[in-house]
Amino acid sequence: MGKDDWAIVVGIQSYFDAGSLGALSGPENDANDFYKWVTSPDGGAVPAPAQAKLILSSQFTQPFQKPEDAQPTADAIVSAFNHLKEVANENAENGLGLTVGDRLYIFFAGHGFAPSYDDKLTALLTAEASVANSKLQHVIGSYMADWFWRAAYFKQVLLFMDCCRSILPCTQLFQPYQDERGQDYDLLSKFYAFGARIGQESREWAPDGKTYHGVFTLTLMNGLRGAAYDPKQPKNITAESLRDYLYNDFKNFMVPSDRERTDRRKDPEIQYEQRPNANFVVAPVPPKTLVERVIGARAKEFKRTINAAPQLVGKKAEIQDWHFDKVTEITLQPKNDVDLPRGTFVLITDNAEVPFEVTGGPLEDVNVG
Amino acid sequence: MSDKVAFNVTAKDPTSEIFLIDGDFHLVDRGIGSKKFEVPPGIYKIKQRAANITSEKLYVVRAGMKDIELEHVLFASPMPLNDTVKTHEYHQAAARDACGRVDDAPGAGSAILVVVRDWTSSDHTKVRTENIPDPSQGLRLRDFAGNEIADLEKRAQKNLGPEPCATYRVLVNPGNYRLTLDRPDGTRVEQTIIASNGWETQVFLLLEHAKGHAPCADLVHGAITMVPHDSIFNPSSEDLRAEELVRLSLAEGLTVLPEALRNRAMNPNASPMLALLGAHVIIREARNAKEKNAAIDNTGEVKTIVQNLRAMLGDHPDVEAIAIRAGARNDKYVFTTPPMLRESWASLLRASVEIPELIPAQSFCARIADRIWGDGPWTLWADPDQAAAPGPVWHSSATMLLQNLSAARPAEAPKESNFVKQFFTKRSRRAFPSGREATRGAATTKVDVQQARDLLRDPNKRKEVVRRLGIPISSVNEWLNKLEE
Repeated sequence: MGKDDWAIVVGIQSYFDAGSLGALSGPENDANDFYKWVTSPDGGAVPAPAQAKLILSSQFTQPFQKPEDAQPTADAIVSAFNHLKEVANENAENGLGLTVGDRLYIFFAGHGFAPSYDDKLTALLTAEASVANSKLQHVIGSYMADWFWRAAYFKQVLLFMDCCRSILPCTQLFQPYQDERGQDYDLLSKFYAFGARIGQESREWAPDGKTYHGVFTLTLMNGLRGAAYDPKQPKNITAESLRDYLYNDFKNFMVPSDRERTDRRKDPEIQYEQRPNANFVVAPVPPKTLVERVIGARAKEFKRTINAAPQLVGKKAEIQDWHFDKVTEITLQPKNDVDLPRGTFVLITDNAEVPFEVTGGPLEDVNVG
Repeated sequence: MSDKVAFNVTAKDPTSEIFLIDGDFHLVDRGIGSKKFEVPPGIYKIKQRAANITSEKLYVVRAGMKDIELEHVLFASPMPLNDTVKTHEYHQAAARDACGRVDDAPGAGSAILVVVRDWTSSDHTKVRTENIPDPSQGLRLRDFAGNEIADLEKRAQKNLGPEPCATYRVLVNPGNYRLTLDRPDGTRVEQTIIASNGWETQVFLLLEHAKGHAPCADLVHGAITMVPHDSIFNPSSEDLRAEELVRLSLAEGLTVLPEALRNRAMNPNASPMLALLGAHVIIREARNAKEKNAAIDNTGEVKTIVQNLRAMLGDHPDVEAIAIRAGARNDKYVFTTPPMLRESWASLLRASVEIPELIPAQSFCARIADRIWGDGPWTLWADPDQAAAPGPVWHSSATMLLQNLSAARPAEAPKESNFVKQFFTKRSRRAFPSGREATRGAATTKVDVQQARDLLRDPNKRKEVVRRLGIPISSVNEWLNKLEE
């Protein structure tokens, strides 16, 4: 797994139009994290650097004196996709059909937008873009992913975009390829995840006060590192479990002030067609020990803190899973730490029952009584 | 396996989507407005989504489970409605007072009300108290000949204290008008306001606080309603709340109109804006089903709405745009002015592929086609008469698009030969080039006019060109004529 996979990972955080497109602090960290995972033997296992292209702002000399100097440009990114087309053509010439590999990963982080007259598309603004001059140079991640999916150059296409999807009028959409449709392309799998819903902004912050990340990438990477395991097959992260995880844990990685706001969306957007028997393994859960490396990882557990009101201290409490099966019993102290797998639970004590969840991400304490 | 537990979940807001999520965080079932769930006992999460707002709560589901009623979602609206986020009682009072007032009366038979206000906090100790903007700054009402009806900055009644509010109500002859905003960045943005006989069109706006610019009215997220002439603004109106939720949900991709709202939208006495918005959702339902290779024939419902609206409002570009989609086109109607809703504009563009005369080249609609501005539910454009209007930026995009649509997929070897060959031939794994510098793409070349014309004979290609460019087919044809000359 992985040797026939390819990845294009882009993180743009410096733009020529620094006035309108303020510098970001998270995209390079996000792209580096994803690249590290996608090329890791315990992650995506894509051969690097041969089949994994990393494009970052810091690979180019800055500051940019004029828009023409700003890099990476839309052309620089599209040239990586062009390379895949060339590989497909080589394979076709060798009689193997227009195909490149098993899986294509696309990861984009930076400023982005959804074009006003076709807001199903999501574009990453490239370094030379200028909002002030209405020159919105871009690469449309969803178009690129769809194009390679339709052309059937891969069996699976996974797209992750951590960028804003504010709706901007852009009359010249950069859709550089002629349409190609491979045979039965609609039966091939695609999994697209966006850090913001249509018309919404994506956010970045530094949870540790030092290193900035996009909220979506924080959630995604926590999931890919194991928290998004599939309860039906805990050794693996599947497309379904990753989707469920991203929907449910995203809010817990949000900037605390955003979490409180009623006008801020608290879920990302996932596009994944769930067909019978079409669920696929995104990656195995990374093993933590040598034993796990041999027999496969087990479902991860996460610490949950339960605070008990004074009148309940010393009383027995039972924690049941979502099927009402007993998981553990504790004697309540003012503060109680329990390790639990992902899921919903109920704590029962003194004729009271308090439902709570364990999502895999950071959560506020459970208060009882 | 335990016996299943049945319970109903009903949202106070009928457009709310309701999701039931199990303990593995897997979506079990979903509904809109109200839904009966039947599931094994367990601990479930119920998530409610209305417009762009979500809320969620865990429930212990056991035998004897009571039905659940979900509270109103707190959304933000420029209408100062109850149970919304950006509301003050004094803004509600200002809107109510303005309804009974006449600031100008250049005509009769219809009225236009504009309420524009700023909202910074629900906590009066945290509201902005310095640099208070005039909400009416830059706003004017004009007709389509360009004549000014009113400069709101001069004519509106204002309270310029903290959380300022400006209101203006004018009696006008029934007809088509433009609300114009001179933005601080120098752009003049406009939108259509239709004043129908016996009706009052009410526009509610909040201020937009963009970084680097003075605050100005936010037309993109504005709310517009139509009420019988001389109606008083009611902040508890369920009709207004429903209109706002459908308007906000349209932007979120709402594709199903809940039964309760469908019945209201199809009622002959429906609120016209709810009927217009509802018709667009019903049209979306059919389009969405078609994309999924399913068939829904709901043109009858759209026709009913069209008939009702024609009887209520008379000539109205939004109604006629919807009528085309429902196969009930009024052949005599010419779109001299753009419709109010962006969805109507998109319908009109699509229809112009088959009926180019709907948007004649050089008409006002054709002139604004490449000046469509901003996003949101309303058709907004940059004033085509403004000196600094942008050039036809779609030409180079059209050139590229026509070239791409002319090309074909490279030939592939037959599958059978691939099957044998793959055992003896290795797949190419040629590495990505390691160079960091980009190779810039070749400049776009000229259009082969004859090839483009041949291409545009194919109705699907015509639709694709109009969809991707957002330009009526008459303008594309005119451009090709000029290229030929």
